[in-house]
Amino acid sequence: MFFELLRTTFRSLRFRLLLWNALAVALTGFVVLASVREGMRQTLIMELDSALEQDVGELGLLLRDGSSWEMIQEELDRKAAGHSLREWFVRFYDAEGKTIWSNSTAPDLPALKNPFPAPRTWTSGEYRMVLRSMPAMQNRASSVVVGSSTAFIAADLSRIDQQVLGVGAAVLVLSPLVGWFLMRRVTKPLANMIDATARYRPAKMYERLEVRNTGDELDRLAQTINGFLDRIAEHLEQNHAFLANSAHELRTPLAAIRSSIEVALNGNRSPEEYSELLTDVIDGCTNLETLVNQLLLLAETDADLVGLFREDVDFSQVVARSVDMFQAAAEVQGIQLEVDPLPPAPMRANRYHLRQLMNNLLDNAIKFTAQRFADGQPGEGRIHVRLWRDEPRGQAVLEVSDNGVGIGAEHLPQLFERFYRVDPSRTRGEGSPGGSGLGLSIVQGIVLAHEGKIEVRSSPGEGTTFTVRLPLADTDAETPAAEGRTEEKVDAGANS
Amino acid sequence: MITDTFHRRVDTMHLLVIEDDPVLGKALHRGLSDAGHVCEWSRNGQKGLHEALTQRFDAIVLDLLLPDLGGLELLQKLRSQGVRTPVLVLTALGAVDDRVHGLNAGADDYLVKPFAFPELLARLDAISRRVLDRPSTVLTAGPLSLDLTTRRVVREGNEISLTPTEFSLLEYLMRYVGQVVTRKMLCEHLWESDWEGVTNVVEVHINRLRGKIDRGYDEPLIQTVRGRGYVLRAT
Repeated sequence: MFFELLRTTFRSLRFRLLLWNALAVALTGFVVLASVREGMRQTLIMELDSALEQDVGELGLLLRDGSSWEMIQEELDRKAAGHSLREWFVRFYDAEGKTIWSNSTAPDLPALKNPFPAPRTWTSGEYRMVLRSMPAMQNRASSVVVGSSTAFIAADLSRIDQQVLGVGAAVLVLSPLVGWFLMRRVTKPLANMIDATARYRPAKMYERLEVRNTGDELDRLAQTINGFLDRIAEHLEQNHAFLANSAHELRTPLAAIRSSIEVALNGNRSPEEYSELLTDVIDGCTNLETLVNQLLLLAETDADLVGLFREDVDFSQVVARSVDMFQAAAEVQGIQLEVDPLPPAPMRANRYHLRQLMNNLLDNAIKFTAQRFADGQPGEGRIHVRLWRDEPRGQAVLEVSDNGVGIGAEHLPQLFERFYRVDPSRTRGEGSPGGSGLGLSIVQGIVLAHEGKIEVRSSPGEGTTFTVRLPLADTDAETPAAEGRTEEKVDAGANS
Repeated sequence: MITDTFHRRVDTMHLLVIEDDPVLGKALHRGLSDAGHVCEWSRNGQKGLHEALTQRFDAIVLDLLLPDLGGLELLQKLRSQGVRTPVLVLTALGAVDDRVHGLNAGADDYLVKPFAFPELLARLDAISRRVLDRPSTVLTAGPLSLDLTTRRVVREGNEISLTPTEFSLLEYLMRYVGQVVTRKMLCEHLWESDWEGVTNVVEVHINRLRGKIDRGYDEPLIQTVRGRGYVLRAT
């Protein structure tokens, strides 16, 4: 239990952000403080160096004054005694590097192996020394070293070190603490979102995440999730309505079947009457079957099963066959069904679904055109089918236009909705299976499942035009592969 | 009245129906017997498999969803035992993958529930004919004859000229002479499309065909069976 809690804590975003933050602060602090310390050390040494240089300069003046050697020694001893805390010293060398004279408190230093080249500044042990050549001296001395202990620099630095360590420790402790509370501002809304989302149930789709209106990423996350929830809710609502409508629509043919059978069972009847009633049952079954098949088709496009069963299809052949199928039926209703020359339109698609799409569009067009001219309206019904390739967009464009009754603007937005009927009184009740109000939903479902687009333009009394855009097969990629296949086939044929 | 449309010329087939649903099984058994076939009905997969392995049948009607032994499994066992009897599979799913699975497992054809009885008869006929393999270039039905190679249609000595669609339609009706052929079957035969919308795309061709082969004769050969389809009667 405790370890589990510990593990969750270690894994939390808050903890990890904190850890990284603390590490970054510690590293930056260390680098900054270390470079300050080093700068300080170098400054102190430079100051010491310039003090020593100055001493050498004074020494030069002293020698040139013409003071006696004894007086100079006395003067230098006095100066060394005055700077005893810094262990100041001076030492004269001859040309071979041997000491000629040094003040009494000067530390023992090894003989200079090579007094030249001068000048030179260096550190030896805890001493900092400056070497200068001293030409034209009365007592053979050729060079001089002035030095001083660096112990006071080390003492200064250790004081700085102590302060640095103190500040560093304070930063290391304080930064996670401050961070822990700062992170809370980020992780608290996140934790709230997690808790809220965990509570959501499909049955209660009205709940939404709180948006704090700060405009930050967390707000945008909440808004995005809410938008997603809106779409799911809408989808679920549509599905509920669809399910209820489907059940409702299934009742009508079912009721017809049941009544026919009950009438048949209720009393003795002549064979002709039985035959009549049973034929009614068959009719009812046909309606039921049609409806069920349409519902299944819609379910297939919904579940994107289309994607699973695609093959290479030439849409123009599907269009041609469908037109051929409806040609005579249109003709007997006095409707001219015309097709412009069809260019090849290869696509990766579900052949069965494309046929349903085309059949439904033509059926629809014939239905509404026949409706207009059946009432003895002057003029001739005309349906025009065109197919062309929109090469820049890689699409095949199908246009089915009729001069039928047309669709009122008020119906257009719902035209593709399931079970929506433009004229409920007309299409219902006669037992006509195509009047289910599903035809155009199926068309739209198939188009969308094939990543296409469908548009409708209509004016009542003038006609309707449906425009379907479907993606063409990627010809650049497809053609060589297709050729390869044909060759294989030829080879196989030659071998067998 | 109704049952006699099932009665046909043809050779009697010895059939096995493997179907667990009592209502459908009974209907299949009775319907196939009425159509003049000798039909046996197994109510579960194990029994059906046993029957299929021990007896000779002309064709088997197999439901894919059986409670004890899956239809596809049964089919695979049957084929692995070397039984080559034609099998027609019945499925409620009808998705494309079922078809592929069924045919790969050795089914000769499939039918999606619910189906029209004439379609079942036609398909059984087709799969068993595939085995018998008797090519025929001239179809005859009573006074009517249709030559598949010369594409000539003659009734009582008079040559009748038909459009390709009408010819194809008549050929199909003559193959199933005396048997009801549904609109759906004709639609699939003519345009490979199982259209069942408002527009009756078959009727107009049937009417034209009637105008050509039945006009002027006392006995109409093509008859409409309400609610079910059409039948070519050669009495």
